[in-house]
Order: sequence, then C-alpha cells, then structure tokens
Amino acid sequence: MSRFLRPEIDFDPDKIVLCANCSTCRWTCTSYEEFQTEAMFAGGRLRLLRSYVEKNLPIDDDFVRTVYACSTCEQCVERCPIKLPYVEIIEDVRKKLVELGKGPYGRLHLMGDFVQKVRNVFGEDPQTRGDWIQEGTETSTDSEWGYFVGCTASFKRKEIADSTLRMLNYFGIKPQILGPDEFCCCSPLIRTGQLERQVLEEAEDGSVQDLGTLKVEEVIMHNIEQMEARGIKKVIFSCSGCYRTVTLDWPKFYRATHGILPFSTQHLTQFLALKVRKGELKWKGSFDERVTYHDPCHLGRHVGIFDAPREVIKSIPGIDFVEMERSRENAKCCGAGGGFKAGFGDNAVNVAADRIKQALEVGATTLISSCVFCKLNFLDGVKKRDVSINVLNIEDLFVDLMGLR
Amino acid sequence: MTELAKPDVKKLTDLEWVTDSMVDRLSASGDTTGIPYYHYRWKKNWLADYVALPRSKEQVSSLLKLASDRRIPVVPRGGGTCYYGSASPTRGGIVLDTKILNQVLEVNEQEMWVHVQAGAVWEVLDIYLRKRGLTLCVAPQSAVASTLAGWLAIGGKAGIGSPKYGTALENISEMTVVRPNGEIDTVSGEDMNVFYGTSGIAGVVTSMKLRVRPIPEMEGGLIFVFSSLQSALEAVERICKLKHKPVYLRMTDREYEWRVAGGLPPQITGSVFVLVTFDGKKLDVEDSLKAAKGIFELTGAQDLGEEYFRKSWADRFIVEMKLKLEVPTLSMQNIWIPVSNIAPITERMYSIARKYRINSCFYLVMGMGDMARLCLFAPSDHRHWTHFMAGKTMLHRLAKLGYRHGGELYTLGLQNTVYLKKFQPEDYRRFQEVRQKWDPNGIMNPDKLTHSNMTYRRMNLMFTMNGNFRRVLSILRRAKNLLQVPRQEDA
Ligand code: SF4
Ligand code: SF4
Repeated sequence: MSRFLRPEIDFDPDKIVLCANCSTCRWTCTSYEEFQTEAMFAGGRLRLLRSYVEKNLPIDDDFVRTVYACSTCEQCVERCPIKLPYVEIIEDVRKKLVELGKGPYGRLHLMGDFVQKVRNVFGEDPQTRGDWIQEGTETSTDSEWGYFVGCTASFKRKEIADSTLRMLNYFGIKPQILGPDEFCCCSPLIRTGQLERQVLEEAEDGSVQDLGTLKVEEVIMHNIEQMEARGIKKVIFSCSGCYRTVTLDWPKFYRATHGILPFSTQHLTQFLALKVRKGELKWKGSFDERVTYHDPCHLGRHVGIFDAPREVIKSIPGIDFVEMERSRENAKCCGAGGGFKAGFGDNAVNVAADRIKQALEVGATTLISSCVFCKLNFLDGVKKRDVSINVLNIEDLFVDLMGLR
Repeated sequence: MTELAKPDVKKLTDLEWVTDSMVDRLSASGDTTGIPYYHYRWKKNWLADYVALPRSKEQVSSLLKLASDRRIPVVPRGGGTCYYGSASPTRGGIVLDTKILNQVLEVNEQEMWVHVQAGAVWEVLDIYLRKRGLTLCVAPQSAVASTLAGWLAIGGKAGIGSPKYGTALENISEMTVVRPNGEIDTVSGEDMNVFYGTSGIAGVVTSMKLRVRPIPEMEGGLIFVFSSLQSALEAVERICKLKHKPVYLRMTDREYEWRVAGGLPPQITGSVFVLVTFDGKKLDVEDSLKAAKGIFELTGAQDLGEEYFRKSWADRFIVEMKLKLEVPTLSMQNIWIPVSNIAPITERMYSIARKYRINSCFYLVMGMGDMARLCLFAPSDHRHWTHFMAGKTMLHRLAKLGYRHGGELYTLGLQNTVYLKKFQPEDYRRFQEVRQKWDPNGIMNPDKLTHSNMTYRRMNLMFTMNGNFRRVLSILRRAKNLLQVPRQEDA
C-alpha cells in the first residue's frame, strides 16, 4: 500500500525541479549521439526521473538501463546554461537504485563483486598487482613519493605503469608502490552507485554464499592508511579516473572523521609540465608527427586540467600539434567512463571510433591522451572499428623519446 | 508497398524505428514546458503510446499513411524546445521525432543555399557551414537545441539575424514535405505558407533549401544601460532605422539582467539594457557601431563596455534559459508587438507583480521592421501554489493587454490556442481551413491551433479568481515573494 503513497525512488524534490528542459545539452551528449532518443541525455533523464518520482511509477528495467547509459563525462554540465550538477544527481540516482536492489545495470555488479573479493575490478589475483614492475626500474620503501597505479594499469595496460615508473626514475624519483596493498580507488564503484551493498556469490552447486557487505569507504580508508603508514606525502597518478576520484571523492569520505588527506595528489601531466616550466626536461629525440590531444573527461572537465598536458606535448621537438574540433571544455568523451564501457561495451567502442575520426579529420597521425582508460578504449576503437591511428599516452611518448625502454 | 504494409509488420513496434517503452514515451512527451503531465487540463492523454524515429521521408510517409488510415494522432517533434506544448501529445498516439533526419544533402555556393534534412539542429548546421566559409542568415534563440522544422512550425520570426534577414520562412526557398495522408511533395513559394507557424497540422517537413551567406568580414556590437524605458525605446527605434540593420537587438530589464548575470556591479545603475550586434563588411559595421554609439550616448545611456558585450553576445543562445538559475519554475508569455507599444504592457507587469508580491521581468528581441518579440516572465516555484498561479494570472492579463495594444501571441502551440478564437479570429479560421484541407481526419498534432480542450471563459474565470485571491492575501500581508529580487539601492 505504501508504494502507492510514496514513490519507489525517493529523490530530493529541490533537485528534480532544477532542470529547465531546454535540451541545450542534447546533441553533444555522448549517450545521445549513440542512442538518439529523448531519454538518453541529461535533460531527458532528469525529465524521466522527475516523472517517475512525481507519478510514483514503478522502476522498470528500461529506467535502470537509461540511468546507466551515461558516461558521466560532464559535457552536459559544461553546456548547461544553469550549470546543473547533473553528474552528482545521476550518481545519486544510481546509488538509490543499488539500495533498492534494482541497480547496477547488467553486469556492472561484477566490478563491485570483484572489489569485495579481490580488491580490484577485474577479479585478478591481488598478489600479482605489482607484477608489472620490470627489472631495471626502481622503487623504494621510504620515498615521500607514491605512485597510485590503479587496476587498469596494474592488470590490463601494464606498459603504462612501467612507463610512468621509468619516467619517475628518470627524474630521480624512486616512488613507493603499494603492490598487493593497493586496493581499487573505487572510481568505477562510485560512478555506478555501488557505495555499499551486500555481495552474494552463487557457487557451482547452486548454493548462494554471502560475501559480506561491500563498503567503498572501507576500501578507500585502507588505501589512505597504507599511504600514511608508509610516509607517502605526494601521490602521482597515470590514470585520470583514479586521479579524479582520489582528489575529489576520497576527501568526502575522509574529511568528516579525519580532516584533510595526509598527502597531495598530482597527475603525471602536471608533474611533467612543472619539469618543462623549470627547464628540467630536455627532450632527447624528436617526434615528427601531426599530433592531437584528447582531454580525458576526468582530468579535463572534472578537475580542470587542460593546459598541463598541452604544455608538455608542445614542448616536444618536431611535433606538429593540432586541436580537434571539440577540445578542452568541449572535448568529446572517449566513451569509457562512468561504467559505460563495462555496461555498454559496443556503444563505448563506437564512441571511441567517432572520437578517433575527429582526430583523423584534423590530419593527426597520433592521438595522445593521458588516461589509462581512454587509451584502452581508443585501442579497442582502432581494433574493432577499422580506424587507423597511433594511440599513445604522454608517458609512453616520454619513455620512447628518452630511450628509456 | 509502404514499409508498414509489409506482411511481417503486424504492429508498429515490429519496426525497429518505433518504440513503446515507458522511458521513451515519457521523455518524448514533454518539452520545455516542464514535464509531460503539466497542463493536464489542456490534455486528454498526455502520454504518447509510441515514439517513432524515422530515418527517411519514406518512413515518415508510411507512418503518416498508417496513422491516417487508423486515425491515430501524430505529434511531430523537433527539438522539443517550445514553451507552449507544441510537441506534447494530448490524445496519446505517436510522437514522430524528426531529429534523425539531420543530414546535409547539398550545399550550393553559387546560389547560396543548403539543402538539408529538417530535423537538423540549427547550431550543428551552422558549425558544418562555417567549416566551408558559410553561415546561416537566421537562427532561433534556441539554436543550440531546436531543429529547422521546429522553428518553422512555431512561426519563427525573431531570432538571430531576423532584423536583417527576415523570418524563418523568408529564408527557405523550397521544402520537401509529407502530407498527413502520406503523400510526399515538394513545395515552394506561397505553397510553403501552410507549414509556417502551423505546428505540423499540414504535414511534416522533411527537408528544406535554406538561404546561407558567406561568414561576415566583421562582427561587433554594443551594450548600454538606460535610465528609463522611454529613452531605451527611442534609441531602439532609431537604431532600427539605420541604413545597415543590426543582426540582433535585445532589450532586457534590470531584474532579468541581474538574474542572468548572477548579480550586477554597483556602478551599473540604469534599469533597461540594450544590446545590439552588427555584422557584414568591416566598413559598414564600423559605421553602424559609430552611429549606434552616438544614438545611445545622446540619451545619456551608460556604456557597459566591450567585455560585457562579448559575454552577453556569447550567451545569446542560452540567455533565456539562464533565467532559470535559482528559479525552480519559470512561466513566460511571448507577445509579437510593435516595439513602440510595449511600455503600457511592461508598466502593467510591474504594477501587477507589486500588487501580487511576485517576481516579474522582461526581455525583448527585435524581428523585422518595428516588430519585436516581447517575452514576459514570472519566475516562481510551482510548489508554492498561490505564488505560481499569481504569476500565470499576471501573464494572462498581460496577454490580453498585448492584444489591446496591437500585439498577438508569438507562439500558439497547446496553451495559447485557447486565445485564438476570441482574439485572433481570422488566424483561427485560417487554421481551420488548413486543417480541413490537409488533415480532415484531425490526426496531426490535435488540440493545437484548431481546437482546445480548455475554454477561454473557464480559463479567464480561473485566473480572475486566482488573481483576486492572491490580491486579498497580499493586502492581508499573507502573500510574500519567494525569490530574491535586485535590491532597490542597486537600481
Ligand atoms: S554526463 Fe555525458 S553521457 Fe552523461 S548525460 Fe551528460 S553528456 Fe551525456
Ligand atoms: S542543459 Fe541543463 S537545464 Fe537544459 S536540459 Fe540539459 S541539464 Fe536541463
């Protein structure tokens, strides 16, 4: 009975009336470009949300799918005349769907299940998390520098982790690496609303085993405690998603009980830009290519770092740098973030292929990014959609030019 | 054989471009008005049964033929940016979303036109043209989201470029249309009139040849603030008579500017803001700017400077929406009126707002000649019912006043159709004839232009009662304004 009096999805009435329904955010939206229906952009989703709440509509599968078919790229927030905090709202809706047992969408729950079981989103053996470290590179146990590697570079794109370490070594830094003690930064879980939920696993004999309650806060606290215990004061990131989450999300969990984070955060592009500015970076080779830069949403729009990567790229001898039609604040998303790749794999690859086309349109032969996840999706775009371009991250380029590999 | 007549198509949803999922129906049933179920008194069934996303004019044709045969209502939908429910279903049926029909078919640089599918978004088309050294002559204020056919359907005549290049229709030389019975036709000249300002009742426009021009050599403008409406109006009238017409001329009042700018610096003391933009040959633009500056300065208006102009000009496509900043519910009415006649309306607006203790502000965009779109706003919060309804009442009273001063409603759509019979009887008859001729089954966008589920008498009574009630509350000091207003000492 109470269902008829109370909406199934309860939401702050002040927030659901914010959207002006102007649709300014529609044609640039990552998910609208892919699905092209009125539900699949920020304004459409907010109209739906309001209707479901005000009309007490039962949450159906299509609603859940629509809420999750968004890469949280924030292109809509950039376009919005009233700068409506759409991504915050949609993450909140996802959280509520998870609480109701209706979310996350599709197989996105696997990421949460794996973090609960093995502390990484890929279900890989946590003991092998540091296995990417190669001979000839140096780490330490007492440096004030830490390198937070993240799940993707640790298990799927190990060359990125290796390049970053070599780059740090080049500048005389032997960072501390947590290895098996590094847990997921929780970006994919926060973005998909899996902040706290019970994790159940079906055994082969059909019985269901309770794996306990996944609590993102505990995972984050573990990471912070590990770094604090090792005396790490400065943390460097190669993954824009990790960087965004540690810089903007972790403090939300930590501040109330502990105050400010015990370390500062720096994306590797900021680190390199500083070296360029100080004149400490003397390039050894040249890169005689036409190059363009893709702003990762998590680094650009989310945190506001647009200039540092460009400064670094433009300082490389021989480079012919061009901007794509949509760049900086208006950059098109690569399609990987916000659980979009994990939930809508094919669509995410289409988005990446489209972005690569934009790079080709300006005559670029190399597409540079500075996010592990973007690179992963672009490489899928190249492989699966018959587009051809050289995809590199800044650290890859650094290591190649400096002859560090 | 039309696609829908194929043996394996038993029901609409067998077509991969038609959906009946709740999320698609709900999201395609609403527009800028707010949410689909608003204005329920104007609607019998606010929720579409299907949403169709055709990819060709042939698909549009097969859908309209089926709908016509089976008498299923069809609501053509472009960007869904109209404030008056033009694209909202009132009897369920099919929402025909035209936005996938958005391809450029041909660019003719000799004759300066582009042949383009009519579901294209104005801004996207302009980006495409600019890469080729061309640009649009006119575009609506909502160009960031609205479609070509959408602006045509609401009778677009006051946008960017209008003072110089005319209405939406005047910039189209030919259209491909699908009639309500499914017939595909190409029309030009006067035959295009039935598609202008008629909310799709004569059929669906699927492509058009649109006038374009080379990117102008120079673009420049000014923004001044005036101490009175009278002096601002005098200046505007003189600007409109300059040899080179502006491409854009906008007038806003203090509360409007204060809201969209998120506050005003104390040195800005006037009450009416006028922004004017010219483009074209460098020498002409420089001449026009000099002349405009002279006209403005003669009235003692204050120059807000280049930076303020640049920012305001850059915001031209989103400025109406910026008003929603910190305003939960925005009601508005648009009146198409000679600019010299607006003073009694804005004065009455302030006086009603004072009496009702509600917010009010206005904004005006010039069209051709001396005609302008006067946009009156009642910022409110619909959860505070008497405040919200008092705002609606104010707009209703001002609409009536607008008619008395030689104006008419700019957009008709769903909610304004109710005024037609009483205040625009000739237009009402014309719309009836169009409907009768092209859509005798009445399937195309029902309850727009030719019929309203609400009677004028009932609406008028409702607003009179609401207004009186708010007035009593106000006298008893039980009505208070919800939203912050610019402080008097700022003025
Ligand atoms: S965050 Fe990105 S994908 Fe999601 S609605 Fe906004 S623009 Fe679209
Ligand atoms: S741009 Fe902002 S206000 Fe407009 S529809 Fe999108 S989210 Fe809503």
